[in-house]
Amino acid sequence: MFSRVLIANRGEIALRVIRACRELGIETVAVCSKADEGAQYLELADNTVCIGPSPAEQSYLNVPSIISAAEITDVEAIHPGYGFLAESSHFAEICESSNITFIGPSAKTMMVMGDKAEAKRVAIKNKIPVLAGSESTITGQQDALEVAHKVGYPVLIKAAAGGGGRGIRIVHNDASLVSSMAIAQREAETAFKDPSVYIEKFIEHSCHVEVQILADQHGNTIHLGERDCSLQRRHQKLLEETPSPSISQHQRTELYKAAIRMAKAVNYTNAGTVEFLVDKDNGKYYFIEMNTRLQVEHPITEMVSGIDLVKEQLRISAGEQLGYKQRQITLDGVAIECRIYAEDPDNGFRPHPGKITVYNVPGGNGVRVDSHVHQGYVVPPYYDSMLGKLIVHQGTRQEAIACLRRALSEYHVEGVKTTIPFHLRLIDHPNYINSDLSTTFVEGLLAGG
Amino acid sequence: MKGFTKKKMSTMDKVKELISLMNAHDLTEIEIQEDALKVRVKKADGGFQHAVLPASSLPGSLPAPAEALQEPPAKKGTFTEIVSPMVGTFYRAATPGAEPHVEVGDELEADTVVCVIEAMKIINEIKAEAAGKLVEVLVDDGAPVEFGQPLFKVQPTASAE
Repeated sequence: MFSRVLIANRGEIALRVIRACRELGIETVAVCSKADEGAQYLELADNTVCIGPSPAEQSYLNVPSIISAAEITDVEAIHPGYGFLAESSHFAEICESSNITFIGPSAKTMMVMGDKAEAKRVAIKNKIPVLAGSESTITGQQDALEVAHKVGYPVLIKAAAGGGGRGIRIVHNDASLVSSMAIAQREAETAFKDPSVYIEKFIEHSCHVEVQILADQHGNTIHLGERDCSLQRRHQKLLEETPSPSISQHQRTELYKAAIRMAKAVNYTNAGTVEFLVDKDNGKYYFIEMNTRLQVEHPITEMVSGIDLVKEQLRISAGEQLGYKQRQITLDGVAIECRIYAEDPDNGFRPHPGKITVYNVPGGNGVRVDSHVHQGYVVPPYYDSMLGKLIVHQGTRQEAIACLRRALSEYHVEGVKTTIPFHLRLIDHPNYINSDLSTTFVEGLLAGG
Repeated sequence: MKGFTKKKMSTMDKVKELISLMNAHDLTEIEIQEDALKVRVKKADGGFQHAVLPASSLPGSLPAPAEALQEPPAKKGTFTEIVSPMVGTFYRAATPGAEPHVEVGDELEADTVVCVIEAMKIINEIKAEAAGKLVEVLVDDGAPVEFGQPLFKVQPTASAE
């Protein structure tokens, strides 16, 4: 096992990794920008290095600075968390060439899965259904129109290097396709420094279901069940739960098999997630993409499986074998996570940075809060506005919803606006209670009230 | 490795050419793959890997979305501080065993090189950026330094009483 690990991230997930390392007896080096310097969670790391000014491009995305920090602190491995450099094959490659273990899959696997069009080709080759669409990236307008006519409207325009919902556009006709192409390309260029986009069929009534994979370097690949992440706004997840209430046992088994086939096809190692779209009208499923990192919503899987995914990531990267076989995995009960953002739900979810004057987190049986925030904490304007994640775990979905309602109402934050009131509304909606989830549910709720 | 030895001279020439290209075009990384040789290119977009970098240029040249959260200028009393513009290892001299670039009591000009910081095998010369008298060296030779860490205490020429 490693003796010292650097965490190339901030906030909630940096704290999550610090905690796992402490439990495994691994020394931690946290990095921070000027905006995060002095943050309380950094005190739990054994060492902290300020790597640059507040903007992420010059600190948390600054590869030379992070590698330099790793060198001066003499770490053996870097955990990238999620976001920032977590899916950068360039960063993973530099770690590899600097003899620092990147805690994740190989740079090569990341490069294949990071190119969405290439990932689709791998899926097709392995007999995993994909949505009809362009076979490679779209270069011109004519090209785009041809593909759209072939698969039929509505279609999605997606950034090839995409993630986090950026660079995605739904279009219903030629005119909006032409105008949206330019916007989507510009968005992709800004967000990922790569303007390539591709087009695929848009399924109107669908659920987003993803399968958690763990694979060691000795050829063992297992799944830890699925997560339903259908509740999104602007293609960003708001609430996730496991097991998915939207799919049948048969569909579930099919998704597990497909996910494992996909992971094995690219010699995947470490924790990863294979995302699928399930058509609610005909029950068919389609591979969307594989996320080559830890997911924000990983705690719900931990709650039902009893497996600490961050510790497993560290063990796998250190070369250890998975300590169990697939048949030894049991998934118990229901877990739900709410992502609590410092955003104003009454004003288009506008980020609301500022000082937190009151911060009381819920507790009690079945409640877990992963958060780096405390009373007096100032939410900086530079980064994602997530304050933390509220996770509940109960025997049944009904009990889990009741527990979540109770916990959300105990979660008391003042000084900044949060999504807590919106979450309370969401889980009281009859469609949510009746397990009628779809990717357009939240947008519909916002539009219709 | 054999191929590398044979090509060594031409490789060195290429590297020199690349370095002058980097300086001319404000690049921070170059990547070229030729057999076993691999080099990467990256344009400076506010990054820091210039071969010579003014000590206090980085914080000042940044966009300031929220002034309250920007670091204040490194100034304490009548002294100013020269702060590290990068993460790396601090050396008072360019090569081991050489004379330090500056000693306490030296009069510094804006372009006086005060130390070097090694980051990812690149030696970066750090300049004083303002005229003054060196009062104190705040970091031990060979010590790791982080972004924004004070390196030297300086009595500015202008504010000398």
